Amino acid sequence: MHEGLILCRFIHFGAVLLLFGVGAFRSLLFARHLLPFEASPAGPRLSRVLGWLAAIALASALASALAWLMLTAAYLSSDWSSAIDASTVRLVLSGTWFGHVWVVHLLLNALVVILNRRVRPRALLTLNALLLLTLAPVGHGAMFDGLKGQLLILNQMLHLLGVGTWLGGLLMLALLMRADHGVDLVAVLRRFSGIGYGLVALIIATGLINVRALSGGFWPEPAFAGFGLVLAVKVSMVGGMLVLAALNRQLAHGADLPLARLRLSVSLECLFGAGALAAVSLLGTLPPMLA
Amino acid sequence: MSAHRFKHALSCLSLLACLTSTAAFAHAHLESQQPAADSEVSAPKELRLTFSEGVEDTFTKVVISLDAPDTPTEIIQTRNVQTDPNDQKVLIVTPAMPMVPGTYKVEWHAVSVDTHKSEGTYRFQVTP
Repeated sequence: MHEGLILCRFIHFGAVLLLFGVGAFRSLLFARHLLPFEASPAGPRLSRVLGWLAAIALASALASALAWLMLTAAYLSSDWSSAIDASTVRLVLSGTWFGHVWVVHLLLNALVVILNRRVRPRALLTLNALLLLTLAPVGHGAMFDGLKGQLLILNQMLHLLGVGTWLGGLLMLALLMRADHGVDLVAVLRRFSGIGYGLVALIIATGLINVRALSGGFWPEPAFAGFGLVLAVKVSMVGGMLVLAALNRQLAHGADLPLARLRLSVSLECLFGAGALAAVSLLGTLPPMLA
Repeated sequence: MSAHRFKHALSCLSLLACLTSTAAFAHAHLESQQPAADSEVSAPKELRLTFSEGVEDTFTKVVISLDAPDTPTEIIQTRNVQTDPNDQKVLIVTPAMPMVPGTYKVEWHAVSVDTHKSEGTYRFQVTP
């Protein structure tokens, strides 16, 4: 059940983060830069690719959210058959904190599936942001009650927004660098690395607050086993992303744009991001402190 | 890091997932209990278990049994297992019948609000 839950978390977080991040890139942060692209012959093709990607992400998000709920029912009652037992699933939804959050989250997910391509991009982005934000209260954030719990959930929301914008932006960069479409890539790259500074600072600061609140120290004890080890893997993945981001910045500021190297570097950075996400999916199922 | 080493790292991760998933996941720890573990008390009306974090009473189970040395173990029926309305960390267990003198074993299986399970056992004695 744990393996299943880890997989669900990975797929679900990945899909929801990217849906928000790609939307933020296209209709908020780089809307102006992408105008020539929408008009170019390559525009409709890439738009179609992105449309398909969004549809796949939405379907996987909904499927993994339902599987997450069913596996939680099975896990909580220590019985595989509870996954398809309506009364146990209903009990999870009505009787637990996770369930209460999940009712809202599932409704939002269904709403995004229905409204996808039917509403304006900005409205869809708002819905995707809400979908991402309703992921913050599940997991370790629920550990503390009162103000501390609420602040930790708020912290997690900021963390998720930062991570989504970064990962979605990277995916968009990787896609934009594959086609000829009249977008001023240099301007996009420079702007993205500029925004990246803020994002990375936000992600690291909120990440540190999370670790401090959950483990009661700057690093969990034991340092390199269980939670500490997986956290170390995650931090090194993010470290790899940072090194590549710095490299991209160097490349983007050169005289001519070394597209091949940039492509490789951004793709690698996406892979590191996926690795970090895999580590996170595992982290949420591990106890942060061994009392 | 090359693509090859990255793959290596990823496979280590999945291996880690398999290894750690078999371990016990202790999240909500029992911090104190009334009557206290290994104490001798006169028959209590209810048991209060205080955890390190909030627990979900819908999925938390507590089994109380009369654990006398010579007689077969007798499970005490509980009327109610509920968290304190003012504090989700406190689980209140009400036995269906008055507790007769003897040694009682309490086995708890808690589900914390972040949907993790933990369990434990303690004993206490009811004196005449």
